[in-house]
Amino acid sequence: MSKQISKPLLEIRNVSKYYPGVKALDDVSLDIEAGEVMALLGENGAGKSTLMKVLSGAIARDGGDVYIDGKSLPVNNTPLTARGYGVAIIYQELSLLSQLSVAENIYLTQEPTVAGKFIDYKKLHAQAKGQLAKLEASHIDTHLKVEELALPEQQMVEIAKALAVDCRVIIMDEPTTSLTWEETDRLFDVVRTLRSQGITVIYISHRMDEIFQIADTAAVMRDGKFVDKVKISETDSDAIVELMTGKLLEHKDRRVGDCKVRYQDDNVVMDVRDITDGKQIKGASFKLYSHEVLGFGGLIGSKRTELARMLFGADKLQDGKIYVSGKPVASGAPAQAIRNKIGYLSENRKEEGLNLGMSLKENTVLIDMGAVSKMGYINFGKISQIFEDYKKSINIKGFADAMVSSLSGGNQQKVAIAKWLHAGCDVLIFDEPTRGIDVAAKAEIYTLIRRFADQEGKAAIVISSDVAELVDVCDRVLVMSRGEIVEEIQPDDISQDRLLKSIVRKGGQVKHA
Amino acid sequence: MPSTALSSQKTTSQIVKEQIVGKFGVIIGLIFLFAVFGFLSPAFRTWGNVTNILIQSGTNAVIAAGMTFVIIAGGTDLSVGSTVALSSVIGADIMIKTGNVGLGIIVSLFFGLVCGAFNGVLIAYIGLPPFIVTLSTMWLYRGIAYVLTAGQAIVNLPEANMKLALGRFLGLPAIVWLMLFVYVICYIVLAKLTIGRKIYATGDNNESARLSGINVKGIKTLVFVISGFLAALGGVILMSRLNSGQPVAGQSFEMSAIAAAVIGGTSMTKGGVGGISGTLIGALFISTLLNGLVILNVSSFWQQVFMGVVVLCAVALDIYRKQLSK
Repeated sequence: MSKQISKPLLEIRNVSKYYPGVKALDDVSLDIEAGEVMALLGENGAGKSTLMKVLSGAIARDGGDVYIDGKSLPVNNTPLTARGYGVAIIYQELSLLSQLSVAENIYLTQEPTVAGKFIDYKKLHAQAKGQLAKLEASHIDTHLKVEELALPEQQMVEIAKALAVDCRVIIMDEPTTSLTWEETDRLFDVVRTLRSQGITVIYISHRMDEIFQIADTAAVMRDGKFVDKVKISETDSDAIVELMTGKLLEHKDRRVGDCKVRYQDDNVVMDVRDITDGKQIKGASFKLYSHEVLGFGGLIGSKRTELARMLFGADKLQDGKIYVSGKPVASGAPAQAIRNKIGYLSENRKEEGLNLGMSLKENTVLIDMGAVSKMGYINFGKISQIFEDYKKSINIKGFADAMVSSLSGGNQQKVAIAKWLHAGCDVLIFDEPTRGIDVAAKAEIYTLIRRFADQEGKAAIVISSDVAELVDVCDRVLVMSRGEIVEEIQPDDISQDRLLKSIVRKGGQVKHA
Repeated sequence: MPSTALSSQKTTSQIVKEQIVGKFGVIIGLIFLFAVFGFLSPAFRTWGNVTNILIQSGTNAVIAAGMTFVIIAGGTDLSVGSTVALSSVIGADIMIKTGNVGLGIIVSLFFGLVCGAFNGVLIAYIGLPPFIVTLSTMWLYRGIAYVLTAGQAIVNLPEANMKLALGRFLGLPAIVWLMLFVYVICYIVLAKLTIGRKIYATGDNNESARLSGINVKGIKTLVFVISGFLAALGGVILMSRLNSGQPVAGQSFEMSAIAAAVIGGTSMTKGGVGGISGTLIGALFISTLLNGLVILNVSSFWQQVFMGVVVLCAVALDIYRKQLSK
């Protein structure tokens, strides 16, 4: 290890990255010491992931310099060169080869050989054992296939793999999202071991309590800019949340006194009682009222999408009851849910929400083709007419016969929304309705959601990881954490500050039973 | 991540190019083929030979129509050739035993449905991959056909069985009328009925179709049932032309059927792409090619080489088309 005096291990100097119309990274400068565990914080879209992708070589930076131990990281950095400079990243989805053994994975392409050709398996396993021992994980059998290991063990193997090529900086991107409480503790032990060996850990997490347990420092980003770096011992969670949101946003309490929903039992559109899938969702109950837009906030991994898919019948419901307009409904398949007047706009419009190979007008009427056909025979003129109506009313920019794949993200999303509006549901679930969509289209989609809920007997659910979005469009917000609804934020209490504090604080509080 | 996809509408010239590569490419190819063979051989350019080509394409065209349903829904059916064999030996057996040709045909078609439904249920409800299921049933159905007949052809069918092969109506062979009838029905189902949109949607994106409330399992079963039924109908045509039920019939018919669909612009690499009219042209293209080569005295070995080249070109066109539409 180099003993240069007070020279930081990792120096990020004026790094920028542009996407069309967006400064994803705006002149970011930041130093990190050897053996430092630094939490990297910021809201969605703040630029954390982009910065880490620049470091690990997944994307090229557009400007600025990065030095590791004084050596400049090339601009056209690739994951391979980044490894050569000692930077490794551990993603949420592990990148191990599940059919190979632990040892083979750790030394993939670096296997010790006999006569330059044949893999020396004895040596391979001995070396792998050594690497795992450094992480105090020598209980892992290096002969096992990776798929036979539990998730936290797989993470250990991934870390060991990083260390096998003399790694100086390890980036962990939300490593605890799918870990249980005990598993998280074990991961923290590993992080401490790494720190004691002088390895720098950059730790991306939204869970405030974790950061206070494990990190030495916290760097905060907002809107692509570096905001500040603070010592954990000298700060508290409120101060960090303030850095993340910026004080400017304090005034955004738009909904106070603005909510017209009558919160009375005769006004309930959907009543969900204690539903569970037996795995991820633990007894969720809530009521949805006519004219209401109900938000679901939470961290990534808080299982909001899983809850929505269960309401919609896309995934199996194990126990609990759902009532729509007072009547209990069977929850089997999406077709059943649609008959029950529940709709679900997927967060993945390309994979699940739209048929990209079909035209705009075909997509628009796909759910309710009965309305455009007689005895199964399609009236194409009627389809065109319906599409043109939606095109006008929700401002879709595209031709009726064009393929959906030729549209921009915002227009695709509008087609997906038109499709659900045409389905005639009473309850529409919008899952991340504005992900990857520009600001102008966002505002239009908010209007559409509100307009939908303004109809008598209808109500919307909005799942969003964007706190500002929840504040803008929702009457009431439920906060979820690890598959449970942990807090209900009332209409007169909604603000970005209030929501973010709830989401971040509750994020780590619910322990696994 | 902020990703502002600034994709725009296609230009008219792009759409025209796509149409040429897509729908009209194969028609242009067919016309070209006719021109070349017609130029080289006076025997080729007779009305009698044209009728011949139409008759020769009958069985393949009918089977390929069913194959098109399966491929558009995102699958493939390798068992059609064996379905031809199994359904026709059963039908022939019934004809011999009862002397009733109509009953034989109905039973034959029914077993086509059964073969297709068996494929469909395994694929849609058990979730096995279409390639593996139909590869297995390709052997299974053929094997049963051999077992039932001890490998022998069932001959001396009632004379009425030949009516289809020999009959003519308004100057065209009955087989051609049957083929056209099948294609009109298939065209209506795929292009005009809601069920057709559901088949396309399922092939284009299974999950999206499911979340749109489409019964994707039912759709997947249905397309295999259609494929099995039309394979049996192809078998009925063959049985009439050969005036026998043969357990060896239909060898590698699945390949010709897939080739017809692919030449016609239905995509093997991506479900939800293609159409029934292209498949008809594709089937005509194949029989024109083979017919012309025979008339020109090209050896059957070279015929296979030409077939391979044509299918490769069709697949290359398919890939090119996909790049165009990006």
